[in-house]
Amino acid sequence: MVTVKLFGAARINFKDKQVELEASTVKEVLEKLAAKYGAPVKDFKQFVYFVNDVNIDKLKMYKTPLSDGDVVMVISLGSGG
Amino acid sequence: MSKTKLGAYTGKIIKIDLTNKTVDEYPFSDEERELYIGGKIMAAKIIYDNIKSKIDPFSPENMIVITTGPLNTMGSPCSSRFNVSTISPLTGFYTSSNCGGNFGMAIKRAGYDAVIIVGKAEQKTYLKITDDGVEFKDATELWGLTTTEAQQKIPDKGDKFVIGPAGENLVRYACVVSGERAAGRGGVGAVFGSKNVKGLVAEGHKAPEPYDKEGLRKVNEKWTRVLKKHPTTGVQLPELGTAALVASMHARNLLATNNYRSGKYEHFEDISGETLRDDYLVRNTGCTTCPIRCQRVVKVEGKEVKGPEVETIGLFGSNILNNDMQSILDWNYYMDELGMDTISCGNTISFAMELNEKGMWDNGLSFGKIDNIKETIEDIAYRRGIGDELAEGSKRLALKYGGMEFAMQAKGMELAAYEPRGAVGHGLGYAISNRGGCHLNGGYLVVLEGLMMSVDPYTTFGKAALCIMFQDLMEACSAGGNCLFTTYAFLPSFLLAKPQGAVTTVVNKVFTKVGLVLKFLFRIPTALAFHLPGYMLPHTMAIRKATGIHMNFGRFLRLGERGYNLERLIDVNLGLKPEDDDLPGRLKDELQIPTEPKSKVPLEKLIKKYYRTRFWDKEGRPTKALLKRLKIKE
Amino acid sequence: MFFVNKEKCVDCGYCAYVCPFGSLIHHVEDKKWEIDPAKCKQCGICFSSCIASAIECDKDQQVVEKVTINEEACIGCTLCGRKCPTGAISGMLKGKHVVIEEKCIHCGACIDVCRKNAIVAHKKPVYNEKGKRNV
Repeated sequence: MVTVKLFGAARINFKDKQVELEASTVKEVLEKLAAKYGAPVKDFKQFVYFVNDVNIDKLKMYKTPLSDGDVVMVISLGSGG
Repeated sequence: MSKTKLGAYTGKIIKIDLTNKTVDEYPFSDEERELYIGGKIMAAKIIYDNIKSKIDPFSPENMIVITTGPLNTMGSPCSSRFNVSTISPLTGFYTSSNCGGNFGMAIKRAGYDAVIIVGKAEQKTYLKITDDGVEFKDATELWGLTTTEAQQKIPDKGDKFVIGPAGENLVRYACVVSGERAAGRGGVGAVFGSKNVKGLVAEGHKAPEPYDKEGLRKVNEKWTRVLKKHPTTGVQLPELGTAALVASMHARNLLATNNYRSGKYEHFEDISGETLRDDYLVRNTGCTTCPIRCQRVVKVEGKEVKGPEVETIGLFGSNILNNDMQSILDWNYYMDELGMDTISCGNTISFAMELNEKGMWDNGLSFGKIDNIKETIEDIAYRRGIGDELAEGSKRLALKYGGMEFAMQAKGMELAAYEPRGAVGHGLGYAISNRGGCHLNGGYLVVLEGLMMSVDPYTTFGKAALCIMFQDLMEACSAGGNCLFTTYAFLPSFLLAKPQGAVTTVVNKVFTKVGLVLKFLFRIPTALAFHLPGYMLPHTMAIRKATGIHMNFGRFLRLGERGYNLERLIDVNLGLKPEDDDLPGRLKDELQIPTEPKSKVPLEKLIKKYYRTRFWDKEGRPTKALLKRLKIKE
Repeated sequence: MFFVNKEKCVDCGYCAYVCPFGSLIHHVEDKKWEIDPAKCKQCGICFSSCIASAIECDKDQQVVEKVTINEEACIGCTLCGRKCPTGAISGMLKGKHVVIEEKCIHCGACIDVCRKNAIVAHKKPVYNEKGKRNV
């Protein structure tokens, strides 16, 4: 089981703070989220993913493998001042 | 009578002499309007022409220059922003402070593009401005009041612009407030206080006419629609406010924590924009003319008040190891009422905490200890006890107690909440910024280095050129009278739609090479003579239709370049040296992440590139050739 | 009549800021504005100011373009000067009153109060024959 924490537009759209999922790659996390919230997988591509505080672009992108207890953060792009 | 042939300007600037109680018209030609269109750039021109050498910011010689932009009162989205410039009591250099309140629109509707204040009033004074002129009024009954109380108590109709107790007591980072919005940074409020001016009230009824009214209206309508549709301005900012960035910054090692000893905060979720929205938000609201509505409304002591921006959350949250959101809401309100910059205040307090921790100054302040913060904020505003020392800012504290390597300021003004060892281009921006440690005047590169794009945050390649382009862009945007958030649509939606997709990944990799293209284009004054497609930068079309001034992307950047260089010139005249373009030692010499050898700011290298790309000499001064090209007379 | 198209309204509040008569009502929770017909004088200032062009009117709507005072008819009662929201009418009691063009915002408030029909409103249509906006 991995813990997926939702921030930004993901939190706004899907309301949950976090969900527990069975997934062995980040790609599977997107698929499981899509199924859970009834939205197409491509909607989840607008977010940026971190595994245990590391950006997946430093790991294996969507193919990044996951282990039990990993924490996946779903972050939105944004700006402020 | 100084009139104008241009649309969107009143054609009149007044200069108020507090010492002699006189009001004169300040001459400004249409040629000057085309070169220095408004806001901070027009103010820089006025100050440059009048202050040629070092002055004491608290002396009567200092000027307060309040300037509007041509798009104020022109029905453009996000067009209430106005500027107030002066010589900063924190830095001793030029500072410009921007504000979203209604006061700028009021002075323009009263018939003035700008209001200059010089001298010092003998009595406690406030100024009343109408289309009939200026009245000097007695502020005895207003002195000592908070910013809200003072605005309510001023009996005259109109929009107000006032200081609180902090400005009255010359706190070096005191601010000025219009409605609920602040001209926050640089200590302009203290300059008001030093002149015995509590504030101003302006009432006006008639905006100037635009050059092409119907053409402008069409641009404004479409511009508003684009802002509503863009994910940042249409969803993130209204729903979560700037506070949305907390999670994003933490994820990317950008959240200043424990006086910038880390870029990640263990308890960031408790102070995130999501928590603010879910557990504390009453509703969102915003400035007049703004469709974005990023302002938060929260409850403090049972009252509905303005909520904090991300800077305040970072500096009074992660940076002092505090994860109690309500306390941040409370302190933000107190600082608004007392009239103080939350950024400088927060960073000065965190510096004091580290001095205490290291046994360098026994002041009772500790990281994570929040029960004495409220009284500390009040003590600062009233200069009581340690508050009197904290009111001087972190640099002056470091000169007295040591610890300059961890006094988080540049040129004397405290840094914003982005930890720059997570984004070195942003660090360059802090160091080089004309008004001191400013993330915006510094080019806000963190947007490219993580928040919206994912350009390599550690490379120095292309960073100087990108910094310069964004600095110039934002300088021109502000000068026109718009909120900087209107520039977020500059990064087109297709790049943001799939941030970790194949296309964007490639774009991120080559984006720094854009820097090389820019370096080439900077040398060709007539390049980029078009309006950007797809409403990426409607400002150029809006300014053209509002004023009749020939404007396009290239000229817009040139305008910003002119303004930025003019500010730099003022600073050079006031004694700026290359050593002033610096960052505290912690950020240059200590690794943020022990296992990441690039996680510190290679400042020297970045500054060298920056000076070269700006066409400055080795001493960081704009060259004669550059000034000639920019039509700036020495 | 002018009215707010609520679908287009973006809650920016500019209409309320420019209205000389305080005739805009804010529906805070709905994040929309509405014109109060009882207070609205149909000056059209909100219409020409709205950033989203969300204020609409009938095709044959007219607005005041200029105001002049008929010197012969004016009895100097000062009612118009007192009603004017911008101080754009000058004149002494029992003296002739005159419009100060630089201050006049063409709101038409003065027209209603004059009991001698001394104030002449020069009106123009909001839309020209081709349906293009004049205002």
